[in-house]
Amino acid sequence: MRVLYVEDSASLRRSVAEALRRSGYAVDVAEDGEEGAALALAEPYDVVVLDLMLPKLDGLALLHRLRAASKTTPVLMLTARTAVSDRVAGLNGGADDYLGKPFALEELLARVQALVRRRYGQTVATIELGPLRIDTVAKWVGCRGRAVDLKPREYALLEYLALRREAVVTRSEIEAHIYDDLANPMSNVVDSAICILRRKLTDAGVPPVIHTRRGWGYCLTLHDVCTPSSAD
Amino acid sequence: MHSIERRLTVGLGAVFSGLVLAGALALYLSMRDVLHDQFDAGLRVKALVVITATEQQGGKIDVDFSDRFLREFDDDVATAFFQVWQVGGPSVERSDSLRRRELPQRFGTMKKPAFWNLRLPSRDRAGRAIGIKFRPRFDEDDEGSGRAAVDAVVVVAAERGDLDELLRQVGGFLGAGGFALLLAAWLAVRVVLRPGLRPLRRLADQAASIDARNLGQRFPEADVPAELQPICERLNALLGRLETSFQRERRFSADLAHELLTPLAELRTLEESAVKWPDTAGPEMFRETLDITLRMEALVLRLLELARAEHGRLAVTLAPVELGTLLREIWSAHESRTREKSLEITFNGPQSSPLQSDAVVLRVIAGNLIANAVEYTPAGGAVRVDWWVTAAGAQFGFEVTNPAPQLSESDVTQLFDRFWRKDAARTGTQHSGLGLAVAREFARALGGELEAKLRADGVLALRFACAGKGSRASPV
Repeated sequence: MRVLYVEDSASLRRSVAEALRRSGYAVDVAEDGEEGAALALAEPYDVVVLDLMLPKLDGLALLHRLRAASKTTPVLMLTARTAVSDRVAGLNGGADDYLGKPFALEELLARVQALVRRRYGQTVATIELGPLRIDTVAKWVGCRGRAVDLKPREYALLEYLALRREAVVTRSEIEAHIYDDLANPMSNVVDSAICILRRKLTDAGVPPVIHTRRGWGYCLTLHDVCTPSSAD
Repeated sequence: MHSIERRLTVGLGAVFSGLVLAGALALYLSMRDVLHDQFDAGLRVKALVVITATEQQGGKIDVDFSDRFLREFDDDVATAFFQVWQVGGPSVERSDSLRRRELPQRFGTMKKPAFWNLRLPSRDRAGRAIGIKFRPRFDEDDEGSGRAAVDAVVVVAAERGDLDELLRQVGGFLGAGGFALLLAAWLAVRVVLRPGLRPLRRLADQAASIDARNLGQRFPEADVPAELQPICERLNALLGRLETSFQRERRFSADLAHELLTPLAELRTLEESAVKWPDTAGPEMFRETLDITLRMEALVLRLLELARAEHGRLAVTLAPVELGTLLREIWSAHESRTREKSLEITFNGPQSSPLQSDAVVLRVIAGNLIANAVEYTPAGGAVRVDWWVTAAGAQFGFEVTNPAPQLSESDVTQLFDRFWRKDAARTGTQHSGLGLAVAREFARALGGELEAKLRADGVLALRFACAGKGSRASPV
């Protein structure tokens, strides 16, 4: 899942982005409102974590700009301004959630995860597909009770495919949602990652669930019948 | 509690009561006098009738009076009485109504008879009497006889029961009328006062409804009585100042929370990350937490400085200061930043500028002004520092000017607010937004004033002027 974090505090930007990355998210950061707005409008983020008081363009204005452009990306407001009026203004302005500073890192990660789930219509934290079980909170994948050892990026890829199960997901969509802006768009990183993921799942006894739809992309399903779709 | 309405009602009621009482009393007394005069006139007529019927004959008084003329003197009616005496002699005649009883003998002249109240000898009733000393006419036979004349006294008395009853009725009527008038006056006062005081009541109700949450309310200045208009204007002006002050305090609280919560969030995130992923803990993380801690410490120290200065508890030690040298020294600390931004700096002031002041406090004031200019002057801009010292250092000051295209006139009024910064995001971690607030309080501690002015060409001038050795601060 790809997250944009807009924050003017360099320390927070660094530590929260690192925490998100370690939790399996592809993270882009922006240090002011203008940069954040440009990224949020250009890239298909799954969640935007947004500070309210930002240089150049404040968080609320950024949010208005985002919603005015019909971007439905879930937005988590993260700010030291926690008065009721501020929270109401943020939520009425189109924010999906509001978290006051200082915050517990676990709570931030849980809220981001909840927003991701909501974005893909998933109400529970566990996705089950035949014998395959994905716990999106514990970031754990297993087959018939046996854990499948996946690296964070591999897990993120599987989770993204699972959230959009039964639908064809294009390579560019995978690139956009799993890899941050440091990834080289010309590389075959997606194909390689799919290949590794398939092998690990097969080794763990999972039946073939990732199907290639030539000319389209990939589809996670127990049956090899998928329809092309787009999440954003 | 004093109520204007109550006081006016009581006051006006008292005035009306006094007027009604005085009017009724005056009316009663004048009516009583008129009735007495009429009664006395009747007595006088009766006395004249008796006098007319009295003559002297041979040195003796003879009263030729018949009760038939005036029935009230008759025994069976007995509402009037008369008795005639010869002066210095015996009683010569009395009415049948007196029977054998006596009337008291008092008298005046024909022109000025004596009148008095008395208890009538008959049935012990209240009455009124007239007494006249007169000279009876001579009998026709004695007229011109040269005989010595004798004088007589006549006293006529009559019952005054009817008069007293009439006066009682008049008194009762006036009393009842007066009471009704008072009641009507009280109602009229209430009816007139209530609507008259309604705007005042509305004003009081509105004032009572204003608290810290709705200071944006204003009293109506149109459609209010002229007497209340200046009050409304003053109250509105006061509310305006109060609202601004509250807004500043609220902003200060919110800003303070932001200033402290952000570094707290930074610390907490770093530490939670280190707990969750121990490999993130290392020298880099500790350096970062130290930076954050030092930043918070600097902020708290600044706030303490400000609080002490605001409460006049800043220690000021006067010593010789060379102002020009001090300003150049302060500037030197910003040289590298000046070069980075290619700023042009000009110093203008007397070569020798000795004065008596507190160098430490002056350094804080000038340091903040200069740091502010270096930070916010656009790259390539020109900063100018002027200073002056009058003879013997009686007055001195300095002014820092720099282009400030980002500022508007309304921003200038907030420049000295705690935590105010044009950029609400407070991106820079070096500037807390307290510098100018601290500088102004320090300026006041030295007995001076720090003012900001945005010139028409977009140049901001921060000017500190001080009247020499004066200082309002007290040593601590």
